[in-house]
Amino acid sequence: MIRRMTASPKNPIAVARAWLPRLASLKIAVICIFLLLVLTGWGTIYQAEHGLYAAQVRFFNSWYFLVGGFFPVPGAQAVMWVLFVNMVASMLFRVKYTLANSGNIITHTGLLVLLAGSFVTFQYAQESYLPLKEREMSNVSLDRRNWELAVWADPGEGRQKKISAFAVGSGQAGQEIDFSEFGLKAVLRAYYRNCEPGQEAAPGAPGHGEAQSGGKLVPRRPSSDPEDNVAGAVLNLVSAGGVAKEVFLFGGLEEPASIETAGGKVMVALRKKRHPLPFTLKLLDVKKEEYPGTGIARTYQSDVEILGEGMERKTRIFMNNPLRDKGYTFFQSSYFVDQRGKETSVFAVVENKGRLIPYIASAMIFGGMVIHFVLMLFGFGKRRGNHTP
Amino acid sequence: MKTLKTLIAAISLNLGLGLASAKDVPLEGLKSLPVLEGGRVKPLDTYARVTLLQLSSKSTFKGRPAIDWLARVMFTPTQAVDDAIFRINNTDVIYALGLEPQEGSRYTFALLGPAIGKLSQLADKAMKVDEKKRTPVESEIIRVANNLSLYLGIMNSFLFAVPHSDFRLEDPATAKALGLPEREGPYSYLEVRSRIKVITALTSTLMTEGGHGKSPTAWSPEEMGAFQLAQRYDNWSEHYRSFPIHLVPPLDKGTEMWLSPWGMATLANPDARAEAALASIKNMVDAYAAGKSDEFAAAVVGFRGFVNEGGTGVFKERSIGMEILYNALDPFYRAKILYGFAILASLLSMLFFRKWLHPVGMALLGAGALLQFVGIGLRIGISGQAPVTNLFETFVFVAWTTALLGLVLEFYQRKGYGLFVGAVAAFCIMLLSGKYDNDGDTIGVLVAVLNSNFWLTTHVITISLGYAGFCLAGVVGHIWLIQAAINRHDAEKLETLDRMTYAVMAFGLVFAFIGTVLGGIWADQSWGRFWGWDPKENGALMIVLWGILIFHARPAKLIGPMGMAAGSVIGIIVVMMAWFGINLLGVGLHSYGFTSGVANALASYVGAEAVFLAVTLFVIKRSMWMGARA
Repeated sequence: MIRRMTASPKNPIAVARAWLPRLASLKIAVICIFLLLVLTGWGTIYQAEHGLYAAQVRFFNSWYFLVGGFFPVPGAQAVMWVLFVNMVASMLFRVKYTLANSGNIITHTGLLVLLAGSFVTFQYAQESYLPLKEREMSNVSLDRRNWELAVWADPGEGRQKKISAFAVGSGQAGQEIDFSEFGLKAVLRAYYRNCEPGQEAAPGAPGHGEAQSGGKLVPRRPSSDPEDNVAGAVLNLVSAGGVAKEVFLFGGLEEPASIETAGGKVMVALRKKRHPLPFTLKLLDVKKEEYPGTGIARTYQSDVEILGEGMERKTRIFMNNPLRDKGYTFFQSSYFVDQRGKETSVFAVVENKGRLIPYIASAMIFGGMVIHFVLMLFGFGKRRGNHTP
Repeated sequence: MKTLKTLIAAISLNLGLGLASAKDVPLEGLKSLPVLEGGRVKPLDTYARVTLLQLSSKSTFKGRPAIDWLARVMFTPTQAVDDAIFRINNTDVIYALGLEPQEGSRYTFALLGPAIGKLSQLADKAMKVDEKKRTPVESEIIRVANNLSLYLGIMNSFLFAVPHSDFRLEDPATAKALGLPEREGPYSYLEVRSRIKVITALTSTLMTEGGHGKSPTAWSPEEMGAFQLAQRYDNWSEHYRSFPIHLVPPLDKGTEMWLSPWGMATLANPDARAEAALASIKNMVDAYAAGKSDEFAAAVVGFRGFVNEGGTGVFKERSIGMEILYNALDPFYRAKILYGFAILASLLSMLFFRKWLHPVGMALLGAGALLQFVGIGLRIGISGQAPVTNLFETFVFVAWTTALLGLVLEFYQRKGYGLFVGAVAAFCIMLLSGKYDNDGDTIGVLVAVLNSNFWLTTHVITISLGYAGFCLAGVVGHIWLIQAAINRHDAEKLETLDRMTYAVMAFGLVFAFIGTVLGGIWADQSWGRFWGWDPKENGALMIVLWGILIFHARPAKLIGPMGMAAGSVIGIIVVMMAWFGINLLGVGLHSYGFTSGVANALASYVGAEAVFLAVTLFVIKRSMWMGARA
């Protein structure tokens, strides 16, 4: 029973003492669980139409979302936070610490750890991917959704190049980007989140491939999953010597645009944002095995070599068997063969310091359940009294 | 699918066949010939059943086992043209092909043959439509076209062994010159093959590069005859080289692909063993066609010897034997029948003669569970994999679990409820499984991402146990609601049922939770993230959340036993949604094709449960209200 404060209503400690235990109410937990249920079902149906990423953004990662453009509904993140606070409050104010309850307590503590771990993953985990052709190597992985402008001085054939990457920023027209270390001034004339090469440079035609220097870019509607978007940018470059050039950069092409400066040729490209890896990974060989007489894949495996800082070792990455090294994990993600028969292996790269938290949480929850049922078996639990319905 | 256009030729080719009718030739040896199909080695018996099932939705024909039918089609195809085995489900398709509706919706090859051109045309058009947007008619056309294509492959698989009008010689003198038997009728591909060196020698001088041969008008009758034979021979070799049925283990150890009889007949450099194998194949065909049982059996043994020799390390004799046993036993179908009778016995024992019907019911339920256990065990031996790897197997496993749980509950409680709910749940789930075995061979191969016996065993089995718990709890919930509607003052019965619901749902929740967690761990090992809000993950989460909701609403005094019973009934729906409702999402929202059969069934079920809940809750509530007024 909450008593009305007769003394000072603004006494914070008194107010807290009155209200905090309410936070521990089981009814709040029930409401949260119910909301989570509804959100999960709703989000799953939404996903069928709009794709997983859009569903995650709207239902699962959000604090709230609007229905019909105006009616606010809490998102899963909000619900889980409330549930977290509710559970903590329960542990502090409501739960009775008895032997009979010990299993339950451990289980719920484990649940708290699970929620905390999911938050850590949500905030700090880094996911990227790495496609490698056979015999190719890389010390960076690619972001799935974000783009960057890469600029470098052409060092000549076969020499190592040092690439500087620049964030695209807001993508506003007229934005200035500082390429001064290359002796260039750059102004962003246009940036498209999703586009394709224009009519002037149709695929296959002689002008194609020169979208980087001459062709136009046609903006497209961005897909509901940014992973499917191919960005494009139009830059006005002015070198120190006064040479001006307008370049069309299309994210779907590997070929960079170039401009002559006093210091030599400078290359510019729009590409998926790179993330540095703690070592270099080289793909030696990738194999796809099929069941004979069918197109069904039996296994995909990649033989890779880890290079860096004097260390070199070979290992094999295949389905259900990732490579874990230096806090990064590499998974066999997919495989394809191009028209020339060259095989490419694609790895999913994950850096997640909170990776082990769900394991710990699950062990706690499972342990708590075992203790609870064992105790119940030995007559420690109270039988629920049943009343007429 | 081969375009039917190329196979239209095969139809005309078949008109040249003429054979004696085959009498009842025993097929024991034939049944157990191993064949590579769908990525795994299985007995011909399974191949026959699955193929017949695919074509006609039944695995027997006219009461005879499928292998009977298959042998007829393979060895004496002209005898099979009037077998009504092509099932067509859509009347629009029947009319589109210019056919008249037949009894049982099954059509013969003789009827479909003339319609092939139209079918091929329609199928090509239907294939161009995106799969999700196809109408039921288009889907059915494609299905029938694929089936016909499959049938054509099978019926021509031994064509090389019988005489064919394509290989005819006008002049008997040519036959002598080429070394072919002198007779009226045509030759078989094999006969031409045996003289191919002579034929090629003769024809090589006729048309050389640069046109330095004799002009065709100057060819002798021998040269003309030889040339025609050679042309037809080359055409056939090219066309039939890749026909099914893959009965011959790889001849060189460098490949995993098996050869079909045609593959053997068109080998570039056959050795003595291969020739011997071909000869025994020919003996099989001849003996069967002539109805000579002993010779047929001997030929099969001869061929099998060749297969065993080449098959060491490639297939396991024991697995083949197990599968034949499994096919004959049909354990799941029989278990389903036993469960049905167990329900009957249990009902009757509760309503009338309790004493002796109860152990009968227990025996029936136990026998069904035992049969399922044997069936599952055999499947593990046959496939070498974990027992639950596809949707069909989940149904079988969950049904088995509910039967076992029912038996355990009954031993513990001895009130008759355990037996009843176990039998009901097991029977209903096995009924459901029937909807998912028409895809053909239910023992499949594992796709790469599933290729891990450890996770398949732990994650899939725990989730299945979770499903079983919730399903069984839901059945108990139904009984609670019915009992309360009849007489809500019978506290003893209601308390027993309520405790049962609680215990069984707790079992389900624990395992559903463990299973979901194991799924997360597997996902972390495989894809790099513990949780991704994937539909299947969400389905499992919803089951867990539903269970947690009920188990928290109860101590919060938001619900009592009635709420729990109703909640358990809804729990079944949540489980169904997660189990196979999710699979409909990719299809259901955009297409109204054949698979909507499951969607409709699910919708009807949900509707029925809604009515049930409304009625029982209304009756109970009204009784409470009336009782309160008194």
